[in-house]
Amino acid sequence: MATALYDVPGPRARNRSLIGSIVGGLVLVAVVAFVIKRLSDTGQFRREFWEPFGGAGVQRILLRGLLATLRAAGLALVLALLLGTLLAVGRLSSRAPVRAVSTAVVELFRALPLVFLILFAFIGLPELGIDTGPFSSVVIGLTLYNGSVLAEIFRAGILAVPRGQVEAAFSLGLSKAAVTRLIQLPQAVRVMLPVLVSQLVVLLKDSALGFIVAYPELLRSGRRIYTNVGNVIPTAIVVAAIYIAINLALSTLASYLERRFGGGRGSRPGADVPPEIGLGAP
Amino acid sequence: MDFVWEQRDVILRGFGTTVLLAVSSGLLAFIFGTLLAVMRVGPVPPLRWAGSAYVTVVRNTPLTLVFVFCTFGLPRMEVRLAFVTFAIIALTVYTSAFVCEAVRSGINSVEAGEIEAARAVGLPFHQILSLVVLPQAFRAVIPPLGSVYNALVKNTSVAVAFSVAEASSIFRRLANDDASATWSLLLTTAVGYMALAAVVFAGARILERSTAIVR
Repeated sequence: MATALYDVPGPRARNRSLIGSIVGGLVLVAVVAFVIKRLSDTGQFRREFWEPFGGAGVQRILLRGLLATLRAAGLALVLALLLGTLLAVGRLSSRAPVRAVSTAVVELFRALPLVFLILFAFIGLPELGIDTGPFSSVVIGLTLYNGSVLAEIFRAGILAVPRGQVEAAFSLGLSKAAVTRLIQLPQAVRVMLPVLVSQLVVLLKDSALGFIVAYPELLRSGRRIYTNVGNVIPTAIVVAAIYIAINLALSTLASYLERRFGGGRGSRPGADVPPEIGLGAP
Repeated sequence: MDFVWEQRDVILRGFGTTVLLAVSSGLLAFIFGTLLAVMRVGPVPPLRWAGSAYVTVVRNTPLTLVFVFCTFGLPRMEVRLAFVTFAIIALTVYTSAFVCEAVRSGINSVEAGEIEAARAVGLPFHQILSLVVLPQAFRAVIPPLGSVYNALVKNTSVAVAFSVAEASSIFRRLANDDASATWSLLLTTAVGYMALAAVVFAGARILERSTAIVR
């Protein structure tokens, strides 16, 4: 951030900021030292807590968990993309009933907690005779929630396509469906690509809710390890590191796509995206 | 629907816990998140690094994992608290990072001219922030903060797996007790959540209106 909050510091300010750095640094070191002392006092750095992660058995559990996470997140992403496209097109439809239904669906699934949607699939659907296991419950929950979030992203993207493009296409005699399919969607996807990848981070994180319905994803695999070894904190740290590494890689990809595709044709990517994107989803 | 009506007290108490979780961690996350945002824009490098490290780590960690760390991890460090308290800690830790980012974007939206003017009249950094930047930033921050709090209300439901009797776990328990009432319970709980979402939405709107100024 090129900040206007303070000047290029002069000698006095440099002094002051040096003092601030030292004091702030000391406070931070004290906090970190306190936490580390606490961890080591309670024996979290014991050899037998960390050694299992070097073993092939535990690594296989984690790897299988990671694959299960990726499988659920990947399938949910594909389905959410389809649902999102459908709902976005529905919300922009020229027929009022289609518009009303799509809007209602989007608003409903955005207002409900993802946990609740997963429980709905896990407990509610079997009551109707639809057999859902943990895997399909997680995928259904993720699809419903992310589909409606993606619908809003798509809609914003479609609306961000310059009006002239649509008018030009109509004047060439294309039908409404053809304009949507050939003119609006391709350009919208281009603009929305970085936001889509950031949403993938949210989706990947959310797949950890499979924990609740005992779907053996990464976090649940971690639970399998710490209930055996009793090393909750080391396992939590290892699992967190895996999540963070994957998500940082995805975020890097998102900012690369932003540089590569963003900013063209005077339309600011993400300018009309609802503000909760990339923020605060569970 | 009879079963739902019989159990209305239990269901309402569940939503009471949901509101308790949301309000208390919302307040704490507001304080802590603002502090983090100030650290991240401030002139002291170690605090800046610490702030961005915190945000990077927490934003990329699933909330469920934060809950595991608090509810099952902290007792291993001989921190013994009620399950509700652990849930409030987890939600605060998680939401703070998002509040921080919202407030920071608000600070960045304050015009450079305002800050330059404040500096020109000789205000020190802490007064620039407290008298000029933050009051304006909070105005700009209401819409994104509204989404953060909307997400927070929904996120309270993660506590379902961590022994907190909030709305979703009440739903799960009651549906377990009487499977034939599953769908009426689903509908009731959904309506409850939508009502809470509507309250947050309306609150953000009213706040936005009442703090709006004519430029």
